[in-house]
Amino acid sequence: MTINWSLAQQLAVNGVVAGSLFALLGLSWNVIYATTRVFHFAHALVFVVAAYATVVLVGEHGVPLLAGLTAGIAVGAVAGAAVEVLVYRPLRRAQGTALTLFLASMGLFIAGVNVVQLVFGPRNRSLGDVPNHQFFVGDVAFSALDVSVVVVAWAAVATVAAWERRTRWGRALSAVRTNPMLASAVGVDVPRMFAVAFMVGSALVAIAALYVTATNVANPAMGAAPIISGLIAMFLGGIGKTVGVAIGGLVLGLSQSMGGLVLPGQYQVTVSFVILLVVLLVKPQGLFGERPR
Amino acid sequence: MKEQPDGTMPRSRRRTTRTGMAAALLALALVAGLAACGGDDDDETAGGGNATDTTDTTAAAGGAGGEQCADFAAAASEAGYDWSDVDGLADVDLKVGQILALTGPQAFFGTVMTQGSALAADHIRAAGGPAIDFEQGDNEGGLPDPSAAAARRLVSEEDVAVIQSSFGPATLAIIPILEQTETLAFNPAGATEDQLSQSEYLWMARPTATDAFPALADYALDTHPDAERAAILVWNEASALSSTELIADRFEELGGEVVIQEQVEIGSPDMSAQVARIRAENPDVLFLVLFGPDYATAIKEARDSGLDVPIIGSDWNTEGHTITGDQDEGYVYVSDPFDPELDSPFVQMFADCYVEEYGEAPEPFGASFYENTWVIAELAARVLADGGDPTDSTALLEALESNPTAPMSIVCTQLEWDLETHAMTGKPQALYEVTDGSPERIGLIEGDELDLGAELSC
Repeated sequence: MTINWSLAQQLAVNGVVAGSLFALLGLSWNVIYATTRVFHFAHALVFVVAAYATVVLVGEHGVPLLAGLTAGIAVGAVAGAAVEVLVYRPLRRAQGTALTLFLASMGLFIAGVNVVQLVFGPRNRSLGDVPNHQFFVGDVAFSALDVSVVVVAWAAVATVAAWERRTRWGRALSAVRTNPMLASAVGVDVPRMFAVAFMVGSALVAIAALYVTATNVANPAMGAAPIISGLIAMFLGGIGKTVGVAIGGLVLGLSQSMGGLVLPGQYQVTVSFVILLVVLLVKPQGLFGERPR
Repeated sequence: MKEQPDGTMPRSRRRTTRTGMAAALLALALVAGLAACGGDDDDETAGGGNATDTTDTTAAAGGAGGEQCADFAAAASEAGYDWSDVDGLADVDLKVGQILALTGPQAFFGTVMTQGSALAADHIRAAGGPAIDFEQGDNEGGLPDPSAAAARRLVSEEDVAVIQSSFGPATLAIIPILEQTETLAFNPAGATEDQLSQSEYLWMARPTATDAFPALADYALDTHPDAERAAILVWNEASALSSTELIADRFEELGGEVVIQEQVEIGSPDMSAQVARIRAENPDVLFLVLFGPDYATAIKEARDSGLDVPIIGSDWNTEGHTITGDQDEGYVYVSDPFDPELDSPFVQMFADCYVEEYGEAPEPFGASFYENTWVIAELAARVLADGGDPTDSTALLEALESNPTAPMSIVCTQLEWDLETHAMTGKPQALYEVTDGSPERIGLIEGDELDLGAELSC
């Protein structure tokens, strides 16, 4: 098989960009799921809410871009924490099972997206003119936004990993992940840690949403596909493994993209699921997950 | 009593986190505030336009401040929609079903189609025509299953007399229901060859889009004689895929070669893999068979990747332009023709009132739904004039079959239908070039014949 090296280079760069985005999405899932064990499908709604918050502020009210992006992240974080406090926590108190919480999250996602559409309309919304210089290195093209998402994603990974290891709250979060009962016994406020996990995870997914919006548009249906990619990244990397999940995202992005060397582009999604299936068959706990003892 | 390790609290002691509640309230306040700032009027039109209940033929339909944007009766009469001798037409209540993309990335189409038809209903009413009520169903961006479910509901529960559909596969999916219930349906949105001759109940209300596609290849080689290698980027959807064959066949007939064809899913926000593969083949021209905002995503990604070749496609809209910005400069595409400057009160009634009502220029799909709604009203008038029930679908169909014409299209041509295939004839398609962010018509396409420089006239 003759390899088109020009194409391979471009696909590799595309894969790093996509992989970084998936790393960010996977990380956002991991912070929440590994801590709370809630299959928070309404994560996709937070994605949409953060995007719309930014579009409305920047695209329609002329708020400066940086301020608008920051506000979007803040709105996402608050929205995610609100879901935990207003929806999941009462359900847990009412002895709700994991299935109950999952169904609630699905319902919240479906209802929430429809509310967004009712309020903002079904049409796409744009951030307007976002500065996005194009770079060309040999045959390879990439943009300033692509560079930004790579830098921001891996900075987020490093920050979250360091926070989990070196800060009091981060260590408390890790303790809750490992053994919530024991963590509580030593004085960790588990419900508060759950809220913190949702806040951090939602802030991370908001960053991802802003990249997608800046490179394309916002619409009510924009959340599900990226969130599923993040979920795959989390399972690929290994639940609970911050760096592992990020690498899982990178592997996912690169393999999807490099598949374009031999497969037409519309099979990217198929590649994702095939990879997930193979990894889970060979190592069900994920690439960096630990085998149960 | 301490909380449980898994975060649940004993029922006897419930403790709320003040910080969490404050955060939740702040989130709700933010969402409400953003909604107040950013909510738009789309939801007012997405539900369909119910005709104003008035028999005053000069009543203001649309127009801010109650000012009349047109003399509806006179404009309709001038166009041939003269119902002055049809007694009782104004007392007719006609239910029209619409199966549109109300949600999903293609919801832009649903909005403009709703706007066009709603405006027509208002104008028809003001011109002395029937009261038209729309009942809508969502095909979720052209999906067959939701389309069929919507058709079933519209026919069995809403008892609509006629359906306006959209998207090829979604329209094909409702044929069994049309035949079972003997319901007349039009597709004013995506008329393609695979929908022709499929059912006595299904009629196209737009020129067959695929007819014009070979002309795109003609245009490419007329204007770029050195172009030898073509790439095609197309929706992974049956009608679109069959359309690309027409382009590819003509391009190769004229001596070129289609070096790559890539497919994308409808609504895909990322076409980087497809664009990378296309760029690697060094095409001289790129054809797009993509609609809605997807054509814009393709143009943006192609230009961002450094692909600096002529791009010729099948759609353009203002929403897509917000995605591409200036990158769509020079983009050429085929679409229904429309010219708000045409010397016709009927055309200007649509153009002026649309802008006044919705604050934006009309889109071709809005125009075709506007036009088709007038056609439906015309059929109702014919049935009533013959003493029949204008709300009976079979009667409407018979009226169309006995006289497969309508007085005037939105470009001043008489509308005609082929009785065998149910294709709409008598209306050209147009070739446009985007210049400084606006489309400029550069020619007309009749059948598959391109006539550069041809003009519309009334």
